[in-house]
Amino acid sequence: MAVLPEVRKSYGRLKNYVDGEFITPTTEKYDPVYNPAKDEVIAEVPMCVKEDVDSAVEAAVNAFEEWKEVPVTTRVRYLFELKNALEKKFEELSRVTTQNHGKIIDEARGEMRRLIENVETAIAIAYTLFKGERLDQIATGIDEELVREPVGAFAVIGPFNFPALAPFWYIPYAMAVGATLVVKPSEICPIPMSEICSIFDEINLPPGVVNIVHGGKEVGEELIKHPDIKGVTFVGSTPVGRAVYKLAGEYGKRALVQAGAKNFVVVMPDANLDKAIPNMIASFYGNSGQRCLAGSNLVAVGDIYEELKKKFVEAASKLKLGYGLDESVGMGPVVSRKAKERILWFIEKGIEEGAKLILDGRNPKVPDYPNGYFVGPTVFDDVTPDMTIAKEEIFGPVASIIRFDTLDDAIEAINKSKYGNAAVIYTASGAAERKFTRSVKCGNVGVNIGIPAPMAFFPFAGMKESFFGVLHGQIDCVDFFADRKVIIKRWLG
Amino acid sequence: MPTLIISFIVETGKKLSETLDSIAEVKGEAGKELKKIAEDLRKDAEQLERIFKETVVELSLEPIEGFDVDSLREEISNLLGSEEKVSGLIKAISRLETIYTSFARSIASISPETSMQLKKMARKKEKYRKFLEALK
Repeated sequence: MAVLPEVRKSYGRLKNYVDGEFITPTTEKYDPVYNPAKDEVIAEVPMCVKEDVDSAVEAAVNAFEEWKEVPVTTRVRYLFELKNALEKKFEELSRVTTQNHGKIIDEARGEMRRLIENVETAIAIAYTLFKGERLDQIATGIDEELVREPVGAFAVIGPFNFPALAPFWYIPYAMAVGATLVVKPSEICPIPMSEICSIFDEINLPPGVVNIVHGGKEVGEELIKHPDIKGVTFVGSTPVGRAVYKLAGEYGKRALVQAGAKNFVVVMPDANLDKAIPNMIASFYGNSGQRCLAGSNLVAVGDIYEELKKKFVEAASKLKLGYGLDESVGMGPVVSRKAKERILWFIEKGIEEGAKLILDGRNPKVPDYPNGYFVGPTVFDDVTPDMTIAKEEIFGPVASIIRFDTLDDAIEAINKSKYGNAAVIYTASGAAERKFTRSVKCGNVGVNIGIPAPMAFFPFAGMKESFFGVLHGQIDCVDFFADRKVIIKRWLG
Repeated sequence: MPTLIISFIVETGKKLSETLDSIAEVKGEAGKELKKIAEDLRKDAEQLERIFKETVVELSLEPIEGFDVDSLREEISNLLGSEEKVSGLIKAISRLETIYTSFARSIASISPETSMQLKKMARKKEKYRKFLEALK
């Protein structure tokens, strides 16, 4: 099958998007941006410095004063324009995402779909959730009301695994409520957000409402420390998330931090394996395992172990590796050489600690793409919960099979994990399902669903060290960008 | 994977439309009707493309067995490329009717909207086929 054309071969030196213009940053340091399927440089990303951050924040703060005064109906019209423009560029942005990230084209299309759904949901909340409350006659002649007001300029720090979608867990909601933003996209996958900036330009979004500053850790820190930034949202690993949360706390900022994961997929003896296996494969190997909702520990409860192992390995070994722009490919490369090395380290660690490697993805042969950062589907058997590969986030296409006698044992292991992002059960039993969903300390729970990704109109949950903060991403962040003001009044006559 | 099948159907719809356009040029009075059919096919393909974009997540997660897209593509391409254009077109349309009906059944539990659109497209194909047969 033919490979879909790339939108462009090269994206050149990326620029910041500040105050409605693409500008060359002051920094002279640029890092290469790769196509991970080819190990080919396709852009250069500026590693911005404090001066670049300051100018973006200034633009966001100045814009806030006017943007919050723009009637909600007008702000919503910009969101409609944004949705329509994104629909028109749906395929183009999907291909750019595949080219920069490595995920297969349908996964990139799925990312775009979920992104657009966040814009649609933000349109809906503007006229509903953002409304205030009022109670007449709380005492004689006195009424009380609550109004929501946008707080100011915020920072958004995005991850590499969903480089276009994750910033949109926040951008449209901030726009809807009248807040303004400075977004720092992932420096590994900065191209999709950079391309989306031309859409902001195309729809004539007022200057400064959404700004983009490229760079690494330093940019993130400068944003959080900046006195005019009211808060930060972050999506990424737990160690970095914890550091972001701590720094935000130190500077008195709001923080909404979605962090790492180690997700258990529990398979009960009564599970319908023929129907469930394709779904499980998508959970463990979709996005090459680089999802915070990806399955990682495959738990066989009771006597389903042999059949599950056989069918899972058989299906995993059939996945075709290749460049994601080839529509017949089932799994793309991982995002970077460094990510590949990290995953390979975990595989070695698993072997060293005594797990049995029954499907080895270390040296996959990928015709036409010999230099890509490919790791094939990998399965470990005889894994125990105390092993490193069962405890730590690998963020790659590695499944660890763990055996338990009972559902209670499985729930205990899930709850002992430091992470609490997702947990999944495959079963035909209502009783098992109820016990599981009520007992697991995880934010996103799947029942016969391998990737329990909440839709935009539900919060993207998370517990324990998978989440720091109070409000979550997607619809929940409305109150993150807003303050509540209570007004108690009477008219003296 | 359903997404591959839908891509194939969209692509084939556009090809059929192009072929009809080219026949319309040489078919005199009937040409106007052929142009209308070509336009209709293009619209159907665009509608399916829209549904595809809106349900891609569900479509990419659930497998469907029994459709070998590569051989279907080859088969339709051969029919559309045959020397006798109208006959090839009729055979291709007839084959697509069967594919749409069968795929509509398989996809119904994953994407009812896709299923409904395909059934509608299959019905229209029957009408188009009859019109083309009358031209022979």
